[in-house]
Amino acid sequence: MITNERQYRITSTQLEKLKTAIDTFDIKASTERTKSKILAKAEIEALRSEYENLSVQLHEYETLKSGSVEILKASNLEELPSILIRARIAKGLSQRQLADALGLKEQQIQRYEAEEYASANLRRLADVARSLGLNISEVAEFRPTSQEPLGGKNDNLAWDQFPVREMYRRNWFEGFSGSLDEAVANAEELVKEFVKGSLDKPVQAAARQRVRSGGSVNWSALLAWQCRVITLAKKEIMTNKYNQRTITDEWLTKLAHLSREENGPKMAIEHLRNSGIRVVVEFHLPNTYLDGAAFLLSDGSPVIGMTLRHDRLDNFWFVLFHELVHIIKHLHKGDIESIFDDLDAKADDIEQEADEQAGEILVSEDKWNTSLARFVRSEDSIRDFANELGIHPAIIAGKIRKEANNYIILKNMVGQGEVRKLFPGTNFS
Amino acid sequence: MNFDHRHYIPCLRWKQGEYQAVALLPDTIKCKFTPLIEVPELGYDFEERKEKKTIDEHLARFPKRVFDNWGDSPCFVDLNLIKHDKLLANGTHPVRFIFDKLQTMPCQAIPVTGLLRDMEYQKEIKAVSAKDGNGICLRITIEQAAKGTLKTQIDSLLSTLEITPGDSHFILDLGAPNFVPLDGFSMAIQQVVSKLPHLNDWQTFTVLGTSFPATMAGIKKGGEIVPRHEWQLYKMLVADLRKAKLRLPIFGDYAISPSQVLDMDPRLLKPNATIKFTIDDGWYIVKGNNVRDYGYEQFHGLSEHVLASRHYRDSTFSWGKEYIRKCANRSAKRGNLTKWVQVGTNHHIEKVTQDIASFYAS
Repeated sequence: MITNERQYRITSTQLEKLKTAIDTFDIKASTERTKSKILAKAEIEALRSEYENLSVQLHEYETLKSGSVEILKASNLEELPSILIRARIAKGLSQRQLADALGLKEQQIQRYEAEEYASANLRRLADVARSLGLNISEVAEFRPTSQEPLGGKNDNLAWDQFPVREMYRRNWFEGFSGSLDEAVANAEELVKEFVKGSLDKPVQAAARQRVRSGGSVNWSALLAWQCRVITLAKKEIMTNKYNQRTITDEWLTKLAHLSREENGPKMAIEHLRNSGIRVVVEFHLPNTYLDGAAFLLSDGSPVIGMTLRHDRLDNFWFVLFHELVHIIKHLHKGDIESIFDDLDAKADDIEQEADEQAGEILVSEDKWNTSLARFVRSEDSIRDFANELGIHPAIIAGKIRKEANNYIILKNMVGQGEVRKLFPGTNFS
Repeated sequence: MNFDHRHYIPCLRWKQGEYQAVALLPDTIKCKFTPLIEVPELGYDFEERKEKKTIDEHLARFPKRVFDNWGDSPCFVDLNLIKHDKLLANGTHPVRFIFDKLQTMPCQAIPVTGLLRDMEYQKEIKAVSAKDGNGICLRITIEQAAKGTLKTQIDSLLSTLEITPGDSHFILDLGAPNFVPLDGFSMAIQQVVSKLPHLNDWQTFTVLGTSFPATMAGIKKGGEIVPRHEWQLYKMLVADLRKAKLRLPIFGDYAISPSQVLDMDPRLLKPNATIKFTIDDGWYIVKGNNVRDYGYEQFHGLSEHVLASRHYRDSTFSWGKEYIRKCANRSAKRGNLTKWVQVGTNHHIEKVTQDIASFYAS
């Protein structure tokens, strides 16, 4: 982040240089020189990415300096330091002027801002906020949203926390033909009707749910999403009833092999449906951080909900198998009946088991341990290994990226943009 | 050529720092290794937006630089970094130009080829091999080696070159892979080695690879140890291959350089002053500030840092190690980046030959 005029000038110069470098970049010459189209592309992409990054910083500083920004809001406490810096710039105060106001040296403010106030104590933060005339009531609003489990208070739905506008936009209020304003005005009634229409009982007891999440979840949005998935699931007429004994190793291997097919995700859903497992694809709602979920309908039949939050083949297959493991091993009527997963979050107990078993079904530990692809990490070696296992290369590439904790590598191998397009009936925007 | 698996093959891009490092090694060390010399890439001038030199200018001094610094001992010479379709102004193929000159020096240079070199290249390799009689060297990547079609491809190439495995050297090039977990990788390589065609017939057999960082960007300032995974892997691989009763390979690495050349625009780069000091199972990398803004004087301080560390106190002696001591005491010049490649490479080769001797002595 740019915090003073000096940095602004340096960044502006850098940006100009980068622009010239991008404008004069000769991809053909670079390809010849590096003997690789990929490396040549990487060079220009690196320049563009740096350009974009610096442009954003420059633009933000200019906007703040222009005085056009009057309101700065933070949604959590971690954002406070950034707000303090931006508020100073927006007020047209230099670091020295703020330092003078606080009786400190200019260098102290420079240090604070460079480290985003990491070493400042609460009193100092409060002093800075006061000097900048920050509205304390705004600071008081920095409390996180409620972390109550879904329907923790049963009938007492926090209906005002439901994303009513988004639900309206997605046409979730069936039978309601009013305008958006009317939907907002009648939100309580609409939400209650919506929830009641999909859940047979008001809401599930908290003890029967598991939620794996790395973010601050909007529980009402999560419940809304589940209700929607249930509504869609119930519309599907199933010819076969789910029986756990049909899920054999052979059945699972066949499912994994479907990943090789161009239309693999759709075929997999059909494969599950033939065995009595419903799969519903519904894009997640804001602040739900959801990849997928597994739960039981009131008659005990299993449903997998998938958001396709990440539009990548590796993610699709891993989430699908993860939720399938939950269905096979962890969901029991009267015990755990719903599991919601943000697979980017840390795993424990049953989550770890589902991660491990999903991984094992797709790529067995034995083969993985000594597979060349794991070490060489080249596209060729990944394709060879995928062929040997009879699965899509994206699954191997995804596993390598996860192990390396590096999501920049093998970007072209993970089937980016290959999943959502198979579900044209679902709105992913 | 008379050496077994206790030998050492460092792959060196033959630039000033590298060849001057080799030149300063004593004969007692020189007899313990055979360099795989790569003809450096034709650099690119980003300001002029063209190659820095013509291919004629670029290659002109190379043969003499091999002879002056390595003499007439055997060495492998690879033109993999030179574009295959580049010919000299008079139409001569670079392979022919280089080896004709090397022969007249005279150098015992063994030409290196691989599966993906074009037919013109192979034709020239065949001519060199027929004329010099030093044999050839096949440099095969681990991925190529893992394919079921390898034997067919190799036999076809040897037949084209009219040469037998017994007159050929085999280098299994791992490049710069992910080495971890080492035991899994060792097993994976063992599986590949067990299926290598003519394994017992090749004149020499080497496994080459590196874990040297591709850039210094991820190294923190001050001192940091980077593991030499290739050496740790080699020791594990030897144990695995011994158990499986398979031929033991020669150890090969890329000394203190990454395996890939990433030719970035120098105007966008600000290289830091670094000393790469090879230690047991690792490199002790001491990094300072960028030399553009902070100059080269910092090498005195970085040398002091290395000298004061426990890593300096091992038993290896080398010209490079001594230079660090002198630089710390201000009795040697601070040098430039090339000088520190020379220092690091010189010490590295000395250290690795000692590592290999100790490993096989135990």
